[in-house]
Amino acid sequence: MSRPAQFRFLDAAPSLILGVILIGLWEAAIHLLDVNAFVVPAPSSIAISLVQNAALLAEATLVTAKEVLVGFVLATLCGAALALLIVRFRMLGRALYPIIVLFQTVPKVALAPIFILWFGYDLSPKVMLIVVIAFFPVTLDMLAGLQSVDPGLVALMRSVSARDNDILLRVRIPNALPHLMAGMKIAITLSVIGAIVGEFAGASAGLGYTIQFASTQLDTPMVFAALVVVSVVGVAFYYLIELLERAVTPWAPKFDPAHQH
Amino acid sequence: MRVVAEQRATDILISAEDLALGYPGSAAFPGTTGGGTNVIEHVDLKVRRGAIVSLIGPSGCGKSTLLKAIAGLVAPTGGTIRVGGTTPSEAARRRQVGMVLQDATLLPWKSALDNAGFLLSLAAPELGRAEIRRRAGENLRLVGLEGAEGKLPRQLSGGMKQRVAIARALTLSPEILLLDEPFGALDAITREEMSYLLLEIWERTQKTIVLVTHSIDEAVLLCSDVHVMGARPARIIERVTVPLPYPRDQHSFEDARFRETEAVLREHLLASHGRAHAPQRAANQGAANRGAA
Ligand SMILES: Nc1ncnc2c1ncn2[C@@H]1O[C@H](COP(=O)(O)OP(=O)(O)O)[C@@H](O)[C@H]1O
Ligand SMILES: [Mg+2]
Repeated sequence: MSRPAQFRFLDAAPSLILGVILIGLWEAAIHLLDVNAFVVPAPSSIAISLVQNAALLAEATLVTAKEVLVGFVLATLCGAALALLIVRFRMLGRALYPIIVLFQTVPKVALAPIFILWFGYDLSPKVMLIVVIAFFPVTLDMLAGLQSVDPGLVALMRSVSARDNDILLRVRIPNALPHLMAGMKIAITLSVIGAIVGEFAGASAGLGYTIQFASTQLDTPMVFAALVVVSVVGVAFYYLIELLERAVTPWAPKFDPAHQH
Repeated sequence: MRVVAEQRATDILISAEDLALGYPGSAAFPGTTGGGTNVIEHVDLKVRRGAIVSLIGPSGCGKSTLLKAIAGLVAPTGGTIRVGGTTPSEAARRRQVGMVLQDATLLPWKSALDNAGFLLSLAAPELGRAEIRRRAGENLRLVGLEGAEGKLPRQLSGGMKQRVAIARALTLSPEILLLDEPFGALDAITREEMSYLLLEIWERTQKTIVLVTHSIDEAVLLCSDVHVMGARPARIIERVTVPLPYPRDQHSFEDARFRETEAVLREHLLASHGRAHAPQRAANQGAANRGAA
């Protein structure tokens, strides 16, 4: 049965308790061992830095979130379109697929400086990097979804002389949606990584830029504060995709680690 | 009832002569025989209009392939096959053939009603959504699913899903219903229920039904003729007529002729698996068992 989408406190309770314990241990260890905040900051000094730099971090968050969103949407569109092309046009697919797989062996993070060189310092090089990093899981999962239609059902459709386009539109694509959503969940986390790496390679704003800038200032609490914000952004985007998934594919069974049988 | 069955039995709806079937490159598959690419060779089959017949035989002997050929999904590599006086693919285009497989293969995002209408909506979109739904609803009622129209497949039991699959085939208004181990994945009780349902559908709609099954019980209970297929080489080795009158029901099991036919079929099936029992002995054994009982 479909599960309610709202936050369930009891499900989250074990993680929350564990999280609080770990943070408490961290705090205690820093004070007991008298570690310098510039090496490892205590959670309390990270929190203070978060508050003090709130405006700055908020601004950086907007920049990075925009990169992630635009890059992710493009990566999803490209990834899904590629899968459709491969399935619909067999010859093209046979030509394309090995090249795409080969391309995966390129360490794409290394492309960041090249994109900076080509596209400058603002949004576009980050978006390009995200697309290049994040489209592949979307393509793979979408392909799996398009191809995992029961061959018996395909035979039944063929027996009433259904055309390939009908089968694609009315069965393969809807069948691929849950797979596409799974690919998108991987793509969104890769998109956040892509944005940060892109900013490391050259930027004048954003959370990645903030992390780099703060570390040159030896402001380690600020580095950690920016990291916390990056994680929150990542988690927020991830849950947005989950919400989308529930809305788009309510018929599909969900994997829910909190409710394993 | 019997008389009616024989009256409408005058014309042959499905006929195969010296039929050979194969898949491109299937020689590479283990279990294919003759060194060629054929899965089946020298098959002769005649099914009268309105008959309900079954194909039984060991796994991999080509039952599904033969069914696919009747549905126009596999082209003959030799001999001829005619369905309703035309080629199987032409018959399928005219929606004369409906098919049900072992797995219901319903679309998980569509309701029972839309699943039942799905193949018709592909085959004849010009009918319009309302008409397709009306026909689908009619057939859902016929298979006993009134009230479940709006349910999604995951809300249905295995038996109910298979009923939807039967309704989906019936919604095409075919003359012929091809069933490939349709109850193979169901538990014993549901299986038996589905057998009675199929008998009921057959009596009501007068469809011509070809049923592939592994269950001798099922074949004897439902069918007027049982074609026993053998592997190595794949062909029809025996045709057994079931001497039980219709309508049949759970009491048919108690009939001595039922157990007799069952014993004969068992013997033929053993032979088809390569065990050298003389089929003749089966009839005597059946009689002996009856005497002992
Ligand atoms: N699509 C296919 N391509 C090639 N060989 C096939 C294909 N489907 C079935 N076969 C082969 O044809 C033979 C008969 O298969 P099938 O008709 O499914 O048997 P049955 O339904 O009696 O179990 C088997 O040896 C199987 O390996
Ligand atoms: Mg089979």
